[in-house]
Amino acid sequence: MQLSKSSLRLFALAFLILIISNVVILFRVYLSHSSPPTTQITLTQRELRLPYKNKQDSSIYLRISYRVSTTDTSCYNQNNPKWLDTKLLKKLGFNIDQYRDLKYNKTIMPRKVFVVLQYGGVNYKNLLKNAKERVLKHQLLYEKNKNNKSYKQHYEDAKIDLQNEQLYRSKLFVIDAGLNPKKLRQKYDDDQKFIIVGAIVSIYRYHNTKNKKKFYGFIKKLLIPKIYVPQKYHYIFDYKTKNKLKYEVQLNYTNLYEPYIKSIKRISY
Amino acid sequence: MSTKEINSKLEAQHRVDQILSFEAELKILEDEQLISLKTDSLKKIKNYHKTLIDRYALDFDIDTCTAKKQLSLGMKIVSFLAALGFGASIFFLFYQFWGDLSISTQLTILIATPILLLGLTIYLYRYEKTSYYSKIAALLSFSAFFLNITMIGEIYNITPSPNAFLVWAAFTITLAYALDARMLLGVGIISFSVFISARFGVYHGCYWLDFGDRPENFFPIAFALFAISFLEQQKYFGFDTIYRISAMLLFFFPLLIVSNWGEISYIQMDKNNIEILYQIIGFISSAFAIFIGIKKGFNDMIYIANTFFVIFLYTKFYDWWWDMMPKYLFFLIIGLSGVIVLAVLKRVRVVNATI
Repeated sequence: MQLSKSSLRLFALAFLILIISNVVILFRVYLSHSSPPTTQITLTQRELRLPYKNKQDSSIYLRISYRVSTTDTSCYNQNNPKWLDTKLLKKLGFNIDQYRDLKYNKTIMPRKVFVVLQYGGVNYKNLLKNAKERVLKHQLLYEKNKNNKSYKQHYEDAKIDLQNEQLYRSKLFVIDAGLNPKKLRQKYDDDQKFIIVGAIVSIYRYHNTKNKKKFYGFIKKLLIPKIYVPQKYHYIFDYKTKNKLKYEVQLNYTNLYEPYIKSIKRISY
Repeated sequence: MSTKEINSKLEAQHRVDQILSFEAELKILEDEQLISLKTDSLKKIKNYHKTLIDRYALDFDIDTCTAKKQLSLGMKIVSFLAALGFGASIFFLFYQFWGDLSISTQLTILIATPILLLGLTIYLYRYEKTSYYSKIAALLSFSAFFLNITMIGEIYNITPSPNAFLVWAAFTITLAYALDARMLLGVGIISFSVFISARFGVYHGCYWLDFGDRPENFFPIAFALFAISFLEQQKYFGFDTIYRISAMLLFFFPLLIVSNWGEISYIQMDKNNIEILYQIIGFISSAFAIFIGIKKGFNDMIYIANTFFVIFLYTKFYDWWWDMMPKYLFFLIIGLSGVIVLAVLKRVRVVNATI
């Protein structure tokens, strides 16, 4: 078929779109990776989990495992941090007053924000301390009631819980949120303990016992929940020994708050 | 229509269809002995038509008889399935093996594949009489470009952005116009709709990936596409129909959703009032679309608007009577309402034919 002038121009434009979009995306990557990182942190297999192997996909990703310290027992959602109160939700852009005054149901849309993840901070230490205290408490009860199976079970459960807290569970906790990542970094300036990342925060509404409207915010998800592992580190991740695998990841975050792996080190099997 | 004016496949096909109709009608008139052309004149006309048809068949690969038309449709379906199959194959091939490659190799493959496939598209378009293979290659080039952007995003853990859809839309719509390919135009329209709807959602405070949770985000693009369908694009076979169908679907589907789940609307009003408002809009707009469709002779518009009018009607019947009526009576009303709609449309058809 004869290639008309207009077709030729359009094909040239299609080529340009391919080239320009790749140049833009790679230039963006170059700029963000060559700028000083906003976070330089070392995490382990507890915080960066290796998901199950997908036979159709040869690439490896590490899923960021974070926790939310919830002490408010009246909370409906366990992913709701106590600090994410009405005042902060308003600061994050949720029009709480408008929704409170509504006499009808309205779906409230989630919002994009930045959250602070703390590694091994006071939240983790408190949970560890509580787990140890629970073991001691149930040990005492069990020793006083040696024949009672229920006391024995509680004691065993408390020991397993402590072991999980000491060895397996993530030490990464969401501790704050805001709209300006730079301000959050100024507030939490230790870039080896605090990570600033994009996340989606949602709120839900319920009526308390006095039939008054209440709002709770919760972290719906991180904007980048999993991190791509370059092929040069694949040898570390042996899926046959997945459960015993221990590794340390030097993780950096760019000035656009996007993570990349600086290095990975296997600790032991 | 003179021969000089013809410069697209669509026009050539119309001309050939006109010639074939003329020949069929002439034969009937001759059989009925209403007309009798001189052998010389008849021969001249036949030769002229044969030359035209041969030339158009050579230049535009048009269908010169009914059997060819049916075969063409089959070929289009098969080429669509082939494109889908190849596209999915490329997609899974990448995922199966690419994790074992170094980042530099991955980048080289990701960037080079759509460029090479675009080169193949141009080559096939240039040397192929029909454009079936070039359209398949173009769709493959789009699949590779989709992977290109998505996977670079994954390698460098880039925050997802709706802008990727704008780039994919620009690429596919450009190729659609270069190749006169309706399927690519459809893909481009979907990508562009996602981009505009997501941006509209972001403007109203949503996170872009949640744009589907507010169906009204689709209305601006639906109106824009409907306006585009009226632009002059005679060179491109069926493009106006694709724009119109996309506009109708992007308007009526969200309208149907929000007329049943009012709480997901942007409007600050009681959910029941929102649902009633959108149901009224649904009835009026579908009836209006049928009217416009009849006036302008857009069959596709009439069919879609008709379907949605009936869906709006039956949804209302369900709300009103499903719980309170015996089922036989409910379905009797459904049947009767169908007959009434049919009678109204028949009447409209008769009136339209006399006009």
